[in-house]
Amino acid sequence: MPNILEIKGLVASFASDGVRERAIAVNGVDLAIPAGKTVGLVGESGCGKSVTSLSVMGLLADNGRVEAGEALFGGVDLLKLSDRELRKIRGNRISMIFQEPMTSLNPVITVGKQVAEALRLHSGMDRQAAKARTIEIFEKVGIPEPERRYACYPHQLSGGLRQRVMIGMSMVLKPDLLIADEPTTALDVSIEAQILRLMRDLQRESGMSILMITHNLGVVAEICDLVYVMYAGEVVERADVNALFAHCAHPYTRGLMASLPRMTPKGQRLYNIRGTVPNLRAMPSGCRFSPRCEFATERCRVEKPPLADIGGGHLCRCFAPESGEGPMGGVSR
Amino acid sequence: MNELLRTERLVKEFPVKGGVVHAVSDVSFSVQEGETLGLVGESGCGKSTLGKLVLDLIPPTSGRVFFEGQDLSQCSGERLRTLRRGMQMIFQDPYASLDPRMSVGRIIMEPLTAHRVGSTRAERKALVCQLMEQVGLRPEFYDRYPHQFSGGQRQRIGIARALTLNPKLIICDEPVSALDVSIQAQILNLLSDLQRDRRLTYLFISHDLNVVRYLSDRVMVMFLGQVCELSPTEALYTAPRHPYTRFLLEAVPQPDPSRRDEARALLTGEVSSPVNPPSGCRFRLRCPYADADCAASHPALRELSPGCFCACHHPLER
Repeated sequence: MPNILEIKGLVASFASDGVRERAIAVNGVDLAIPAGKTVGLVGESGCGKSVTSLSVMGLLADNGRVEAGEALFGGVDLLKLSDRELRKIRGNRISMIFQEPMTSLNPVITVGKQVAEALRLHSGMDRQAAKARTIEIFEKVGIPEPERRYACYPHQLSGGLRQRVMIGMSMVLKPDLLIADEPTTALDVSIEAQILRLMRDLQRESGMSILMITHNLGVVAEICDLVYVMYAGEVVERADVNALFAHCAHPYTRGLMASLPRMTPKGQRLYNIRGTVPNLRAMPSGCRFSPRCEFATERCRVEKPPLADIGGGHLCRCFAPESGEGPMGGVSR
Repeated sequence: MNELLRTERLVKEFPVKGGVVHAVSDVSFSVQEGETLGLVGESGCGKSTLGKLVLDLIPPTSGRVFFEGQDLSQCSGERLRTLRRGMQMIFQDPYASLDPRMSVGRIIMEPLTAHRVGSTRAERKALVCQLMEQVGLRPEFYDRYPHQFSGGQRQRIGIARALTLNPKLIICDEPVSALDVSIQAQILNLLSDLQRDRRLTYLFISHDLNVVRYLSDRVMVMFLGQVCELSPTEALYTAPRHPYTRFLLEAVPQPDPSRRDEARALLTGEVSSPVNPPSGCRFRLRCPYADADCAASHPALRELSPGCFCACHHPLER
């Protein structure tokens, strides 16, 4: 299957006040999104998952910089485009939605006008046609009473409705790729379930690809086809969603899965990964997870494991990947 | 087991332009010593307001709170101060609840000073260091400031401060919602260890149903200020009786991709507003089973089977 987006060797860094050395937030990430599929990018705060997508979209903050790598989108390297060329692609062929729709919407313009404006800007529709199309889109993304909602300001809508407006706006131009960065994290569960279902339905209809950035493994299981797990700026595992949940291989992924309270009865301890995420400026040598890994050996502390295929396209960055029921499976503390 | 906390027909209303927010409406429940009562519901259901009412941080519009058998509204002065030492709170965002200009040691010591525990500063400092160790913070960090800690460590500071006065009851308001999964597990383990070692009682408020299931003995589900269901944890999760409870459970995305194609009933509509809620059952506008009875009268919380309470005219079959 052709890939809609192929990121290769992406390195991104940040400067901060009073520190000469730049912090490397993304360190050589390869990521491919097959056409029509949903790819999950998971990891904890600071692992570089959002920086990866922002780099590709040319939306890094002023103190951020792409150091190396390429991002091929339809044969074009997005990282080499000028701001103007990128702007044409953003919103037109690649759309983004974020965690808090309130911060992405203009508070003093009605939501209907904002969506209609996007339509007119990118497709040259006249005012009336754009309004009619916007109302159609609102209906499609499940906004009740779309005509009335057209004239509402963002603060007059609930969080769920605002996210629907954002999804509507991102869908107007039928993008090839939708990048969704924690789109349901701020929503209540009943609304989260609705939004995830909506995204699946829209994808089925339009055939677009989705890059789903999330920390929630439940959301990954719900919507993704292929999953990348990031830790400390690097991809540590990539697998088909079923393979990942049936037998993940990297000790970090296994630790994450084991620390989820699922059916764990009260009184039984949850597994927890010891220690904390390393500082970007003081990355451990060798495997970056080794200081927190209970299986780390001397070799892990000096030599960096490659992201290797452990069978059937399942990639894992570990010298001793687990398969099947490993020690973590029966772990109690 | 002894009853530690009881509320009687608690009501909290906030007047706003164009109506009244019915934040908490007629809520009665009790918590036994050593128990964890989970409190779940979506935003605006009144769960945090209920937590504040229990702590007497805000006065109820009507109704009463009993702590160790004493009616808080009838207590004042020294007696109220003593009772209050027995109940503490842990907040969602530890950063927002810690004074950035105070060292961690002073933050944890403050309640000791306020309640004049320990006769000398040295004695108090020793107590603080002991507490820091208990919650997994190195006592060497005594002089550091909140911004020098990670989110998980900050939550440990918040927990240490809540423990200083040896409380019996801790209200945990979304204590792990802002934390990453691996850190969340550390804090949940810490909370269960502390409960075991100190015989603590928790009122655990969260929107995360998996977390609540892990920690709670019983769970109370709220919708728009009212209690829908209150049952032992396993009964509630395996055989919910209130339609809202079932919808809520089915909506949680489970970390199991083989279940994604299961037909699930999703709630339609928006989270309703607690301003001028509907007559009768407040869930009826989103409930597929609602009929004329549900609009006519509010269903009372009834005991459907031993220990399982549900407020619905048409409870689900087991």
